[in-house]
Amino acid sequence: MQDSILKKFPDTDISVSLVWVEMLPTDNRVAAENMAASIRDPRVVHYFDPRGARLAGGAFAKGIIREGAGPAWDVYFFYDKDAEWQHAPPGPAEWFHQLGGGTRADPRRFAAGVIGDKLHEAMHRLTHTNCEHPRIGGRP
Amino acid sequence: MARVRFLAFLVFALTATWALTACARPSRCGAPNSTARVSNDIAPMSSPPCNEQRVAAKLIVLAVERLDESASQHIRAALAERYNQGLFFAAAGNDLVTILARTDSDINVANTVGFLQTIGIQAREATEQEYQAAESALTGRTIGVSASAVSLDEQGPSRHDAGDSPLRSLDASLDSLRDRFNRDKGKLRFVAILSPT
Repeated sequence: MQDSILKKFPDTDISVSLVWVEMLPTDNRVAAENMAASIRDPRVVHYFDPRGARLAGGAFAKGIIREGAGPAWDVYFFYDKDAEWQHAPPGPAEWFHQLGGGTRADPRRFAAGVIGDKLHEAMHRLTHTNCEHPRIGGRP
Repeated sequence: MARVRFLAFLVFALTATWALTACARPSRCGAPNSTARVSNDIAPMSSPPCNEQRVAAKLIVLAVERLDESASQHIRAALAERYNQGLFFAAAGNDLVTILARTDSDINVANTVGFLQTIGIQAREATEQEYQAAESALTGRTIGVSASAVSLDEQGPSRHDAGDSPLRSLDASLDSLRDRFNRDKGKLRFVAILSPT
């Protein structure tokens, strides 16, 4: 992600929010802080979504993760310039995931092993075209 | 996984009294991990959440001898995803990975063995002797931690909010995330939700 977006597009005006969520046994705030410290860029703000809440994972799962498949994590969303978060996060212009071999979310969006390339391609599409991107996810 | 050779693999399923006995002692509930140390190959256990309904949790212990860390990561991620409502603990010794899962979900030996087989891991049910050994270790909470193991100690969200922490906590609401998202309307925006490990 750091290479695909931040380093390869150093002058792009993009707002990046990285949410570190406690999902794995080894996840905790210290680990999240370490990751945040390793990704320093003025365009980036880091958030911590603790195990007891997983608010972001829940909010972003709607319309993206299959019903009952748990919170969203290992997911990557791009939003176009007009997107606005009202009652829920809006549908993304582009998104990818690395969840469970593609069984927990749309397998066409499964990008395990190629996530860097996918993010890079999406950045190119979204920053070099002016066309409208259909929103995905089904939320108003 | 092809590079990984498993020398031994044990699966223990315990219809646990651990959660009940641990939570019966209020001072343990919600407290940081036990500091007792006996073995050096099992990570510490977080205390069970005491504001949840008491149910007989089940414990699964997987002991995997391995040749490299990727095996540990693979198994841990796979199990965490499958049983993401449970608590999982993993640590690496020199050649041993032990994973302990506590979950209130419907989980049993047969299911777990079957699941592991689907991801290419040969598993078997523990012998009675192995079962007894695991139960003894868990009941006494004599769970140790190797020097290299990652602490699983639960940390209060407010503890790090002061100072120059680069993190903004979402423990109470998504307001800060949403506010920034909307404030930056007019820009391309990217949001990723990631495990830090």
